[in-house]
Amino acid sequence: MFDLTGKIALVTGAASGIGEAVANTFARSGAFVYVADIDAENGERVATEIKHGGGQAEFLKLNVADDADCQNAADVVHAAHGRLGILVNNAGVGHVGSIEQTTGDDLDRLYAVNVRGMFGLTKAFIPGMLKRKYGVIVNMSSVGGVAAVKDRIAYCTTKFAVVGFTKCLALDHALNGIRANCICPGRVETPFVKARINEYADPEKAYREMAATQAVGRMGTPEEIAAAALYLASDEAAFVTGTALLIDGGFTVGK
Amino acid sequence: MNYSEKVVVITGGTKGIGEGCVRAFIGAGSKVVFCARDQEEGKRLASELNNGGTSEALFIKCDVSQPDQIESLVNATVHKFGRLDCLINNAGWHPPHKPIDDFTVEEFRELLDLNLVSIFAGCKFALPHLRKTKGNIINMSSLVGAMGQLFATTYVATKGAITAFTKALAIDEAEHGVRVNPISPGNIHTPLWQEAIDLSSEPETARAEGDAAQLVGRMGTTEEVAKLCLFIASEATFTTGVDHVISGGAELGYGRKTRIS
Repeated sequence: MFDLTGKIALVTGAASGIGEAVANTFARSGAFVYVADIDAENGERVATEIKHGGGQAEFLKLNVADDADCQNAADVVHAAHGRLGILVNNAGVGHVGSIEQTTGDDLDRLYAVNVRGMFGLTKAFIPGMLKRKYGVIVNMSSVGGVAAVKDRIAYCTTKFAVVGFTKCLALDHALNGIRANCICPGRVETPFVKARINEYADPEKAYREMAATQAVGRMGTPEEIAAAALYLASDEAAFVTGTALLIDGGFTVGK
Repeated sequence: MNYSEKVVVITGGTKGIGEGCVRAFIGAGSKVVFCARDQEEGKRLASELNNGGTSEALFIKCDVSQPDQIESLVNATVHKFGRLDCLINNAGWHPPHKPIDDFTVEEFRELLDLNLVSIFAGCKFALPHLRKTKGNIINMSSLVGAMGQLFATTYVATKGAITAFTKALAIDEAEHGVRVNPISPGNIHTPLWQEAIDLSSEPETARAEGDAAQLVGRMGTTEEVAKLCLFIASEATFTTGVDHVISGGAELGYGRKTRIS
């Protein structure tokens, strides 16, 4: 069950954190995985580790904010395999601040990657998916895509947009064999988050405070988010489209 | 996906989504105790599943509108298998559609007992055991619990309440390590749905309308819902209090809804 054997998948932001876990999980489930990222060093590392583990992967340098890069990714994948079955739009950037500490440029920078990047890469692959009447798209939103998170005004604005983008994609192409869903993770302990925590004067206190916003009292792991991406990407989820799947350890329950 | 050696209780397990869950969890290596009111169907399914000489599936007759019977079901499970890892509160009923004028107050109360109080009771009696295993509960709600549905006030009320109840319980149980999640299926082609089709004056039209309610142009299958349950039970370890919509996109977009001609 949840087998991706024979499927070609592309995961953006796959050089670290949730994207890396998704790439690893998909490869273990039998997919050929394009490890796409702007970070060549870590992207190559992830692809190499997958191959050493017996999986199939290839690094693909990709800046999703660049339309030419997106088209190049589609050309590379189609030249090698003739198709892409699964697209995971995971790449994203963050910013901390209320509107007072956020500039228009900050919002533009987040929008360029989190929304426009997702749009651009999806636009590059959707014609091929429509032609073959098969395509599964999994977009990374956030709890910040369905609920307000303090001091994340630019981030939440873009992540709410991801939910809207996903639902419209699902609506427009449901009869063409395309499914689109997004995942809304709560706090996840990625290398990025760990680094931010270590910047606090008292990292342990910062960890406790971040863990405490989840009812379960801990942060999630990248693997837990990857498990959901695998479920949504698999044909077992054929009846699931247009959903925003929360995996938040109870971040959004209660008040 | 693997859920082997886990002990799972599934209510309403002889038909529809419940039967799909029983089969999926047995397939994943679990020991499954399932209940229904119909003893004959239950025994038949259990004997089919235990055909290989195993005794992984156990049927217990139980009317979930009787809380003492649910308590016995849970106790019998723990007595037989020594533990409990997952409770799937699936049993429920959708009455024929009619306006509020035609529902009696007593009918509403009876449906509350069957669809909602049964879930409260199941959770209450199972939780002491689930806390020991840091297990999880899946409660069967419905897409219409959040959206409403024509001539289905009583059913929609019970399903909306199930989702709300489940979120509240998720908060309380987080400190015990028990995850509690609702599922909201759209139209799933179950025997209950087929019964509605058969009772309709134009069965073919009824089926076609049932299929057309989803963007994907078909109803879901019981297997698809069962696989979502299996995912939640075995893999969704950071997920609690989250409503899981499995609807073929039924709630997306907008279009002609008015019945005013």
